[in-house]
Amino acid sequence: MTAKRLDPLLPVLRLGIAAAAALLVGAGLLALLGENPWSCYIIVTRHLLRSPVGWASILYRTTLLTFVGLAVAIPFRAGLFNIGAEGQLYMGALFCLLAAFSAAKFPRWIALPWCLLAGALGGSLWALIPALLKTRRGVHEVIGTILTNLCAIALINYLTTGPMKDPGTGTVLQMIPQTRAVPEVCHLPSLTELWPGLLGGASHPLNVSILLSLLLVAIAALLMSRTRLGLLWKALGRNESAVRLAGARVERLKLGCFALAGAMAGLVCSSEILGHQHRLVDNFSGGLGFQGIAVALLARNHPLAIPVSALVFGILQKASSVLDVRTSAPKEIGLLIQGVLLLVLLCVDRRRGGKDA
Amino acid sequence: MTAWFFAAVRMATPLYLAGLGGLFSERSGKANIALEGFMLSGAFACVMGCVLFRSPWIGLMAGGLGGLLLAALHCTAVIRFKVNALLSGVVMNLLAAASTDFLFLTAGDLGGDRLSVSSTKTIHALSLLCLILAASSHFFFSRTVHGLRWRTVGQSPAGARSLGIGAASYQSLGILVSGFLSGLAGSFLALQAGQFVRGMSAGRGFLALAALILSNWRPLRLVAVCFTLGGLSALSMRVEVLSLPSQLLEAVPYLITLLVMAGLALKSEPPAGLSEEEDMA
Repeated sequence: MTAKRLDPLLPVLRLGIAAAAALLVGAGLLALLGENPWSCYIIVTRHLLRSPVGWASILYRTTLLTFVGLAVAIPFRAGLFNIGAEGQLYMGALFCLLAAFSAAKFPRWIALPWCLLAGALGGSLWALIPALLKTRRGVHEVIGTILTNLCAIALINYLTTGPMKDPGTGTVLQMIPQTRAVPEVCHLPSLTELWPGLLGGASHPLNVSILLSLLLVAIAALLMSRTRLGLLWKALGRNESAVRLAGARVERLKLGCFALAGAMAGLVCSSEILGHQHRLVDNFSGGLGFQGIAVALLARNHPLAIPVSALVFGILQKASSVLDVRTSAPKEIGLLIQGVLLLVLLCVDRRRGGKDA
Repeated sequence: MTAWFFAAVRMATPLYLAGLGGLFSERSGKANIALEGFMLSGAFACVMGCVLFRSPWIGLMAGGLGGLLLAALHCTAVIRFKVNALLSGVVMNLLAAASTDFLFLTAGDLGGDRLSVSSTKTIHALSLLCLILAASSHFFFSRTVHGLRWRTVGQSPAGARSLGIGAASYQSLGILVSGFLSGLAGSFLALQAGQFVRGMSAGRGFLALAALILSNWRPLRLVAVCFTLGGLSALSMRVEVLSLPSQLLEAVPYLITLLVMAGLALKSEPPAGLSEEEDMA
């Protein structure tokens, strides 16, 4: 902490090292494939600069990553490692879906909050399982969340291919197991509804949930920096026994922190189900919960930095799909670069992976 | 019955190899959630070895080395740079998935054809190896000086250091062993399937981790746990009387592990050093 205060450039320098290493590895891989790395990077940059519709999908991805980034970052500040965002977001999606099916006759102003609340609740309850195992039985939260993740994924896979599968047939989309669509009243407005001229009417996945994600960022930032609870959580991350000695109920703090994180992950449903797909698609997340860890690490677990970090990964993912289309490199190169970035970031950051950042 | 037995052994072998790898790492106090990634990279390296050298044995060794390579990276991060082992583990899983996908998609003819090596002998040898490993690692941890020191490090890295035991070397070795054994486990999957499939470890590394917890970090009990889990999944493939859908059956071992850890069954006694990650100087 002192080093940071003495030299505010240090984190930037570390970030620079990690980014440079990642780009170098990326360039090396591209060269291995017989591409000219420099021209590949230029192609990507040009494409990104010229494609407004591309930015819509980047921002959509950013929204999703912001939710899961917060779900990882907040427990991290409290010294808890939530790698269960994947399971939490699936259970949030399931609860949200069930709420939506029950809300067909509700007016819109009740239906939407009802679905959002259900999504948050689903994620929260699912997060409480590993949290309770930790506080009551001393099971490390990483083991608990890994196991609950696997259970949630299996459950969603079962439901989307079995009991809740959309019986309708026809479109190409039906190849992927998914549920029926949610009723119209539960659709979050697309951004085009608020801002008619957006992207010249081109179709895009952006919806109101992007505002919700920014609102959550603001709430999380205020919570962490301006409230007693936030202070206690941060203290818990630094020195648990001190907090215990000061008389705070450590177990409750941990449970609360996990519940909040689960709710944030659960709210991914606002983007995915209420805003974009309007149904639960099997495996829709595809590791989003784990990318949340990347987002939180890059943001050094600071709520206000989460959307920026999410944007970086959103751009990286878009860039890799551009590479996929325009060059011989598969889009998996993006994941590889992301992995290298994380590893170098962890290694140059000596303070135990930014756990007490 | 015999068919079921052999199916159970086939399921249990990779679980045991990876689980034992995890045991060596966790008994030295370093949590290891990267088994999944080590297995995956092992499976890929094995297929590469088989294709290049036309021998399942060389493939097997290549698989072990593939796991070892990633483990070396993990070890560098965790021991040299003192990165949190869990964080590094997550990154390792990510890197393994990304790099094998990348190589698989760009290496062209590697995965398309089925391997033209006959690997039956190698597969049987691996299952046999599990029993030998079980007995020898039990002996190692309960009867040898290094085994006892290893467990001491796992119970309390700081305490071990105060006795003049080099905790870091045991931990490094533990991670490397886990990489090699998980790589062998991945090779088993690849040889059995006769090809590389993207993400072919399919959660088995995590299942091995669950088995490790259920075994209370003991090599002999791990045999029983792995065989039971293997037997269950062999049963679920053969018999449909249970009328449980396959996806839910897959979750059963995880549920059991959760229940055990919740204290509703058996008693879990992890190496004490696992929870004091911060103590690493």
